[in-house]
Amino acid sequence: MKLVVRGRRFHRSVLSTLILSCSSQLLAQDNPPLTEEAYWQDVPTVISVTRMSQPVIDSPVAVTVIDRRMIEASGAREIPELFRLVPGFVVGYHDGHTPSVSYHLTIDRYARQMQVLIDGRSVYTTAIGGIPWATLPITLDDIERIEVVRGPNSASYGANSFLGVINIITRHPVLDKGTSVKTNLGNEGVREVFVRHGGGSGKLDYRVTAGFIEDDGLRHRFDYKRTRLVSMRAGYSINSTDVLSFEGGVGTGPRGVENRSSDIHELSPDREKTVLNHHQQIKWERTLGAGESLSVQFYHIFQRNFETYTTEPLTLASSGGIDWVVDPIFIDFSRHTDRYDLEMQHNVNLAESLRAAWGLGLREDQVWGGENLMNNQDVHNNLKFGFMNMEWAASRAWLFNAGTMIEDYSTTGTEISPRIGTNYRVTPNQSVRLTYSKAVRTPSMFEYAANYHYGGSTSYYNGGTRIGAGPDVYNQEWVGTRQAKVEEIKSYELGYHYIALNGKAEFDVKWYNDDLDNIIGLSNNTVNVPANDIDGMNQLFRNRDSYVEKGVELETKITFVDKSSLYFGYAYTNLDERQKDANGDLITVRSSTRAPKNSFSLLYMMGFDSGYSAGIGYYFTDRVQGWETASGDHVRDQVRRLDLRVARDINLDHYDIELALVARNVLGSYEEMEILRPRSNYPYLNMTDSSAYLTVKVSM
Amino acid sequence: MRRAGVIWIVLFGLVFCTTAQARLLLLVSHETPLYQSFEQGFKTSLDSLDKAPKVESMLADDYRPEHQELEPGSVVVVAGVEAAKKVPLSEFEGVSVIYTMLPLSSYDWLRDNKMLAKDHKVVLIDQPAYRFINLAQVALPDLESLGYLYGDASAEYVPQLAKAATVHKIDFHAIALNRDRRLVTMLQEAYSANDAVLVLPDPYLFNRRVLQGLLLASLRAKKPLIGYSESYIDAGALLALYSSPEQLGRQSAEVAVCYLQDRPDDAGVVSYARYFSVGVNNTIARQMRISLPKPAEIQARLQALESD
Repeated sequence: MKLVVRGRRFHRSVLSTLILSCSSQLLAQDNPPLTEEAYWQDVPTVISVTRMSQPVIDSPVAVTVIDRRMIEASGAREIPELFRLVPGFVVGYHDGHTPSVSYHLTIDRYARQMQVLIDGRSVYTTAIGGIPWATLPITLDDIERIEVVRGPNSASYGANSFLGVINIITRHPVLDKGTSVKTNLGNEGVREVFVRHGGGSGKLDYRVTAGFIEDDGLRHRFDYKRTRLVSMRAGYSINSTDVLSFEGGVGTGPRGVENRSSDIHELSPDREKTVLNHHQQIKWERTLGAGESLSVQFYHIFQRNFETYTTEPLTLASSGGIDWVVDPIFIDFSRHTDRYDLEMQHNVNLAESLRAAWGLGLREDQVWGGENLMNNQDVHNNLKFGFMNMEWAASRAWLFNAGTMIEDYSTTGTEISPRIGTNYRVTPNQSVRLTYSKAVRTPSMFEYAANYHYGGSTSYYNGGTRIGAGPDVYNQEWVGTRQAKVEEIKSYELGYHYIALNGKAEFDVKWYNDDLDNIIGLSNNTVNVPANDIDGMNQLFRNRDSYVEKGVELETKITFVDKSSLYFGYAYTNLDERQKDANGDLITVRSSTRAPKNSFSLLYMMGFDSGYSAGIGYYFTDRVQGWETASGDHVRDQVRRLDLRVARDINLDHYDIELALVARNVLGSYEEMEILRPRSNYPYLNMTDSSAYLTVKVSM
Repeated sequence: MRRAGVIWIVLFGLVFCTTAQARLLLLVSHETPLYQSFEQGFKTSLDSLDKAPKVESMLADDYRPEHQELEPGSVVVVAGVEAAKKVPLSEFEGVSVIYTMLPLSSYDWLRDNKMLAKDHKVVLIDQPAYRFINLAQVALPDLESLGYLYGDASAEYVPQLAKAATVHKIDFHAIALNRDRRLVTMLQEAYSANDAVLVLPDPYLFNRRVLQGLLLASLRAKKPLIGYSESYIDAGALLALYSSPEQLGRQSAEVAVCYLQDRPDDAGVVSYARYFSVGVNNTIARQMRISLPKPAEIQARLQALESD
């Protein structure tokens, strides 16, 4: 018998030796080499919470993984909607093109305390904080999976990874060869077209996506959006150890902006703004050995919000037939941000049971804000950072994780964010974890250096005829004094994770106690107000709020014998606000409604023969305080939401067709997180209605 | 008096018959859907008989020999590795035992550690090596060479695969996965020298990092990856061959019936999985521009080859 192994011949004697050596190895083992579960279990999920690949059971913090099946079954049209699935998350809409995603504490539409990464690139808007979800040049079909770290993770990903981190991982271009065309059509003016093409030549693989997204926004709101986007991802295998990756994209388009920002609608009429978001990212990675690698990454992000308009004449007072009128003022709320980031990371095995991921980096943020936002200022924030995460497998049962991030900001100084934790394997498929993390959030450039104001000339009118000039008027609203410090969170987490032996079921429970301090908010101020300010008062951004949040979160995923799957998430949050005086001394502690007490999500995913599939998503959010409340605290009532999706895949010889019908929010309208001011031009409450859309996708 | 005597004789006969009736006992490793499916396949197969024997099933952990009297002729079906390890050997004297849902490597380990009953048969999860070679040839008729990536646990398949490949005149290359070598180098070797690559169960292979490397290398080289489970198809392998728990239950029931009816089973002590399914990833096939027959057609042809 001829046996060719790597071009050489082996004789029977060598073969016998091979068999004997395998047998002796088997005898030497304490346990059989394989169990039956190896033949039926799903491929284990590996995550990158600590910048090292780890199975979920070894993660020092709770992680939710949203995979492709969940993305499709959910019926989501936009990425933020997916996070309704995640325990403890609140997803709301300020208007049709401004979604916001926050974890536990939800204050306003900017959600400044969440970090979002796309393939290692931070898309956090340093100008005003938050994420420009609607302009990100990425589509749902581009996404392979999303890892959501539920808890602080500055030790791995730096400041602003404060309440949590959303890590979006896009599909490798080699998986998307061919061309596909997809369209979504639905009510609320939904019209979307996406074209994707993946190809390769030699060692190069690439994918290009182009899309046009249009909808009319929420009912009775002036908040339409039209977005055009193009993105690409390419990978070039230089040799057997080196890979070069490149990503680039641009998203742009107009949005309707409704009077929202002032009690006086003449100062803020309905208008249109244009947004632009583009990025370039290049990464070189060398594989050094099993689990060892070296990478260098550079990216640039540009985000621009172009928003200018002219106010309408505003009558300030009338007396004896003479009107005192504010002349039309040119308002500039435009802003743009340039971010340049260079980072190196080395993953290394230090010893048999000790490995580490460490790195260094530089970042520069350049923010410009228009006249009425930041006085046409350029503000620069330079950052130097270094990080180290280590994992020590002390024994078969005990695993220790430790990490820290050291950051030196030119605006706020040096910050250290440590994490230490341990995982104990009760059995091979059950672990208990205990972790302490500290994280920080740096002020956005707006909180740091804002000068949000109106100002202009006035005139006197008699019967509609201008009779003379009046005094200039000025109203300063929000100010950043460049003295805001970082926000801090100290978090304790106790968790339990269980994976069924065949990998078909997974369960996680997390108890947590988080202490949030120095949270930046607006405080009324009458000191050092400009002399010509019309009301002698402004609001300063300062570190004034403090919270304690405690709770428990459950998550489970089950795959049944018939291949259907169930995902269930539940969160209980108890949020207390600590009120302090100007000196920082505690005055009182009171219960806060800035986080829903209870929330849960349920997604049932089914696949049938003949290519049919379906998804049922049910979401419940308890009462929670709304955003930008005009008068006192307005608490939004409980919300129940049901989404349904039915799809059919038709596989033909040369192409596949996917047809899907999605019915969203079939239980009826509910109030959105953004609560309107009573003097708005549109006096209706901000409502999310029931809607439906049809998808047709052809892949070749 | 006579009536009382008759009654006693009848009662005695009933007790005797009850005591003498052979039992069919199923011991499973865990109470999970996997074993529930196995049990369902097992019982469904028995239900098709005219006089279906009653199956008593329990967790191997709960089995207490002192409470479970097994008469000669009884059959015990032990499902899974944990059950095989836990069940006491000595209690099975005179009783036939069927070990099922066992990987071949684990059966070898149990045998070498003298943990198996004296009179036993085995139904393995594994497919016979020649079936993978048949699959490669039926689905990919132009195939001339096949690479086999193996670790410590899957090394034992090398000789069987080599032999089967020789019969079909396929060049067979076995490539050992070595932690000291770079994975990407080993994968490149495998795909550059072969028309397709095969992997079988091995702990080294079953993690996402290695699997992703396998898959990416397969797509880049436009050469198929052949796996051993539905999970591999979902993850991106082009073809897979596997047996479901129900199929193994059905096969185990057939062996049990032979024992209970005291009929010879021509399969021998160790049987590979008899019933199987073929998985095909059409999306990957289209990306590689490979035209494949439908899974049912491939399966039928494989079954026809085996019955020849």
